[in-house]
Amino acid sequence: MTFKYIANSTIADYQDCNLNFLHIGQGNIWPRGGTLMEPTTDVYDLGSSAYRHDKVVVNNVYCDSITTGEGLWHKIVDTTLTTTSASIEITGLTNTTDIMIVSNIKGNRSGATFATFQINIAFNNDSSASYFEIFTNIFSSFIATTYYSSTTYGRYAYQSGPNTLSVDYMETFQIMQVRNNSTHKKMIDIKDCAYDASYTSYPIFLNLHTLMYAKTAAIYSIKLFSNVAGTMRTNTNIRIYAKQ
Amino acid sequence: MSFHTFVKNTTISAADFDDNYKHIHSETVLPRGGTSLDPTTAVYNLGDTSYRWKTCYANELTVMGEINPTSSITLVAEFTLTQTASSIEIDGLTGETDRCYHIIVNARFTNATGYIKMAINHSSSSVYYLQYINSSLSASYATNTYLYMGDGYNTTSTKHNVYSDIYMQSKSGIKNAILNQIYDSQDLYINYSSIRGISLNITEAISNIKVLADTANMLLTGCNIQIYAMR
Repeated sequence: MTFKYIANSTIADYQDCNLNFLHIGQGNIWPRGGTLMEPTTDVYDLGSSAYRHDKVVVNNVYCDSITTGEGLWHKIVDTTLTTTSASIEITGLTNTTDIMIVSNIKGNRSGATFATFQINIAFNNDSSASYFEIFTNIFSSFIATTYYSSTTYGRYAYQSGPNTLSVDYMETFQIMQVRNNSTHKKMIDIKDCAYDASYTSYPIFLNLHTLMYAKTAAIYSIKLFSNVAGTMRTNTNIRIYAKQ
Repeated sequence: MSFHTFVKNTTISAADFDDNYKHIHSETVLPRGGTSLDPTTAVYNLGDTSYRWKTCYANELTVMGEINPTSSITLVAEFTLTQTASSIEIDGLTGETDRCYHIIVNARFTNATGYIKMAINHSSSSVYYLQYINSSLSASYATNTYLYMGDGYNTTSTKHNVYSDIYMQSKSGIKNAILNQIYDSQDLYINYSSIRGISLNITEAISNIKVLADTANMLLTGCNIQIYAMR
């Protein structure tokens, strides 16, 4: 059905009047504009900051972003490497609430047999104002628990030890949670698992658990980078969720 | 106010005309259908993929289904036992699109000894795990058809609780890695376990998760499992 424009000094058809009401009130409620009430997209709002609906009750919600008082974890970054790279830097972060990173980093070291593979994390372009105090607990029989103070980066993905695995097949999976606060030090928890992604070799695990705090006021960039010869392979994926 | 349908060859009342506008857009705005614009539920949409509202302002958002499944951490399944059972099974998961699950298990089981465990995709023998377990008590490395989720170790206790916090990749085509933190409490004791595991099934995405007690145990009423998708 289409909207019928009722002109001045003309006789309005009763059916046009009925259909006009159905046009705006029946079925799906779409954002409409113009004199003929045509549907539009990304132009009009439901309510406004001054005139808010009290409750929205729906079955499902689909949208690009949700801003709430707090409590919803929303994905703000989803990036996948299309070529090998020694570093990934995510800039433009403005969120000062808690964030969570989920990542699957794939190792690559040009066919080398096993050696140390390590990806570090730094905030705010490695600035001296962003340095860490780090406690790293590595549940492994061959690497001891360590403590680092006043470093400019933290250990994010790690594998080392008496193995013969090619790092071309090594993958890692991480969950990093940052307890963000604009005035206090940021408490950071990284859980990391390194394993053999090839389908024939024997898997290995390194049970890395890093606790650290960052002495920085706000996180506006995150950089993951290699400090050895290794690089991050194609299809390495990083997602960042912010609590909003 | 009610909706007035205008009839041919009758005079339209101005009040009826006004009422119709109010019926549609005054006060609480409801989804309506039919020629009488009666309210309906879970039939019509606000906006469309082609015709989206720009911003929605509201004090409160109540969603019966999912919120923004393409870009938020979303609760996709939750189950609480209302009676003692040997297992909890959740079916219908869509691991391919969900990519990663955050699984929180809060369990209490009957005996002092024994353990609880998790299996995926109906415990198929092809879905076995390799796992490295490091706990307050011991460290071990094992190949199993299940993921270890908590152990009873204090024979002086009668029951114990397990809180298991799991992050698990869920897609097909890759070895899905698992990060599992377990807090196992028994009266005066707490055992902390940190587990790194891998599912060696690379052909199936996760569609089914089952938490079960060993043969000597039962899961007690109130056991709860929550599954969040991290797409």
